[in-house]
Amino acid sequence: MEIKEVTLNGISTTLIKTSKFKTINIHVVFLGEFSKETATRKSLLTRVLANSTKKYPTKKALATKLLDLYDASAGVVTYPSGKTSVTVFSIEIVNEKNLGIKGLTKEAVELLWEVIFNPNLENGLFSEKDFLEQKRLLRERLNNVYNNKTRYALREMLKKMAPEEIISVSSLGSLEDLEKVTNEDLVAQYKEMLEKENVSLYVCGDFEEESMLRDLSLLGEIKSQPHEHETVLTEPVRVKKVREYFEKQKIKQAKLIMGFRSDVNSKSELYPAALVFNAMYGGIFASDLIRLVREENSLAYTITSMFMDDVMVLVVAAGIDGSKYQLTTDLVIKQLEYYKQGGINPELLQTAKENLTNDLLQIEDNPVQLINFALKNYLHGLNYTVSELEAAIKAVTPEDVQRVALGVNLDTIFLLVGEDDDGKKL
Amino acid sequence: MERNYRILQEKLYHEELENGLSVYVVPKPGFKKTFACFATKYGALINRFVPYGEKEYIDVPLGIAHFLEHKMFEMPDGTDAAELFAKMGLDANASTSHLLTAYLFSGTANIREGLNLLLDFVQTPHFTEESVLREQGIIAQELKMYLDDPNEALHLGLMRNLFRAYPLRYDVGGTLESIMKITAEHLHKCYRTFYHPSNMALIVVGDIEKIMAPASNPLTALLDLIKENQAKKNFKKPLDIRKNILVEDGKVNRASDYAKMDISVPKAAIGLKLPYEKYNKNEALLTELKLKILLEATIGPMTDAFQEMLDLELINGNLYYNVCCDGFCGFVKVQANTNKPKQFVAYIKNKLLSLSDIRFEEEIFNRFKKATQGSFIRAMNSPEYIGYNYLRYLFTDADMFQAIESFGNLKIEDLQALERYFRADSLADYVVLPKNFLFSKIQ
Repeated sequence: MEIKEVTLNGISTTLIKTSKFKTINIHVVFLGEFSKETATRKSLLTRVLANSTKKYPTKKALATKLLDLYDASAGVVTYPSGKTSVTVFSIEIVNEKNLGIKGLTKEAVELLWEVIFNPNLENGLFSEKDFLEQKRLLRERLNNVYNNKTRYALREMLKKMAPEEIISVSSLGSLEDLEKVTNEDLVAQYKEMLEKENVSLYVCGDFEEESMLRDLSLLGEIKSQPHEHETVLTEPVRVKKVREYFEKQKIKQAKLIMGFRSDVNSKSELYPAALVFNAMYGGIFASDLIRLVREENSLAYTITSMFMDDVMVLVVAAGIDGSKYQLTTDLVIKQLEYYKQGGINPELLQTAKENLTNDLLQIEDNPVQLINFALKNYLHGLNYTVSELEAAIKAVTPEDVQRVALGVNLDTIFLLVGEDDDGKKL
Repeated sequence: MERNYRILQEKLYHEELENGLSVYVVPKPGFKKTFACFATKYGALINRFVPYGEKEYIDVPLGIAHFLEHKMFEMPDGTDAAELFAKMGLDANASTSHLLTAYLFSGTANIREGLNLLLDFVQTPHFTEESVLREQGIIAQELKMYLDDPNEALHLGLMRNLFRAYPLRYDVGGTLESIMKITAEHLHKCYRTFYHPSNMALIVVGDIEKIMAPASNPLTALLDLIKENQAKKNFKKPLDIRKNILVEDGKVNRASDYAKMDISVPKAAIGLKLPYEKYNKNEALLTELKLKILLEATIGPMTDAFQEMLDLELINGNLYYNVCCDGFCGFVKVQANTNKPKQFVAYIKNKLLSLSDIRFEEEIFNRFKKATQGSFIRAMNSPEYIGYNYLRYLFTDADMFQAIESFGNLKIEDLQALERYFRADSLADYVVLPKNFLFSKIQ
């Protein structure tokens, strides 16, 4: 495998060459501002752009084109990193070498160009039919968040924990903001993306550099501005008092979400140690929380911790019996205290490192993960290779893990609980 | 035996060991990750059988195959196999479906040790009444998790409407009541009967040169490792397994039903029941592929019908379809989030019934054949996909690679042969509504 960074028409371009995949993946990434004001517009914009183009003005035309490219898969997504919105236009095709044909990559790049630069505009506005249709679908998608109880509980916890902070904003958008979005707003947002955002390109697969660059140059002159929004938050938030919130719904299993503040982000010296801490605490199957909560006390089928390294937040999530709320949260809190006092099991430390190493090495077996690893470096201003991060993880000491734990503090607990559960037990 | 698949550019080695275990190896040069899967042709479909060494049929509680899967991880010395894998830096997991129970792991190092552990933990049953009791608590929480998931409710509701007795109508995990009836003795009987090597298969997908380095013949070395492991264990002689699966015809159990949950957006599903049939080699898999093409071409995003459903606001975004043909019976499922469940159901039923007379333009047909080929070549990037699905289809008597390659020879007439499935009495629907929705008022 060979990773090479070149500049194509002024755009930072990462070429990942490897012969082991039978596909070519191309990602075009726009970095802009992520905020409460723009989240809903961006969410709607990605839907409208993914729906049709000038040349393929209907869903049918676009879907047919993808089928003709040997079932290519194309997509537009947007997600946040700190206060930055990351909007990714991607396409995956079968490598033409594996089909014994020529020109498929060129056609894929042309289609990407269509989706990004040649939207279905009529008199300077998006086709009104598309606009209204996608607005309705996003509205329904937002309504549907309520149907997925774990995701709903996580969103509600973040809203309670940090109402004024960026983490309370969902990249899906909000119903309230959606109603206000006009076609003009959306076109303005689109123009801002083209004029004011930062652009980078990523390609992965088995290709000749020269012909790939020739194909990619079909994307034309792209304006790319220096990126100026925070991609990683750096100011730790102090917890004054732990807050608890409960909501009742007609459900069988309670969803417990615990939000912690951390003083580590992906740029910190302790970043590798934070990955190890998370794995040991609740990130892997052999973790302490799984052992304590699931195996030893049968309190949950699953309990897991996630480290959100761009916003310095750690989340523990579990599905539990509502009456076991106190018991479960006590176990989770006590275990963190144990880490803070230096209770780092060396065997589990080793297991966590091996699991993380394993996950890291596997990145090289998946084109999208390889691209995302390169993108994360670019986004967070890091310069890790997979093996450098692996070495950094291997070097983590029990004291490092303890230092991470000392900076982790419980902030907010949210419990979504069945209506039939006895409130007193809470 | 070595097989080469020219179109997919994949290789497969197969050997049946003396004890009856089928071993498959798919080399993936250059891949860091190896994926291994050890599976038994035993899942939630089988609830009535003659236990090994006995004469009479017994009925076992629903969810027992899944329960057994959970308990396998407990080793006789009290250790937990999942933890032992984790200590080697390997990711282990297991899954139970109606057709099979699969134990799997993936990783980038210690693969030889991992293979030995995989074979060892699955081949050392250890169940005590006490540990069964504890597992009931964990599985009860797992089942409750699914009970709050409207998609699960929708699926099971539809299956109950389609099938009268065929076990697809039940959750793989059983029910909160049935799992409480499971005993250690049940587990032993199921284990003895269905975990004999002759009822199992092992597949390894990865860079075998790297796994077996510095062996000069890595394939032989890998097979020797597996053979050595098996030679250390005693297995009773294989017996034909007598099992009783209640298969049925194409008529649905109940045409329509609904449930209410604490959700905000209604969900509706339409099912087409596939009756019990005898399938030749590869045919169950090919039937799934053909049905998928028919669905794509009739209601997929590249059809006018899809746009019409959006224009009429019958769907709130994606339409999901799912085809299952397990070698006995099967179903087609189409579902969506919709604010007009009744109209949506009627629309889809109408479209499905139109397939009782299939008319396909050559050009569209060829486009789908080409796309199917492309989508499988893309899937070959994933060792997990190859490993799990090769065994899943093996248990429906198919060679996945061979079947996919043969798909290129498909003719329009082959699709028309499926017209017989699309009958009004083979259709059912199920709707999950928000709790305060008035059913009489829904559209």
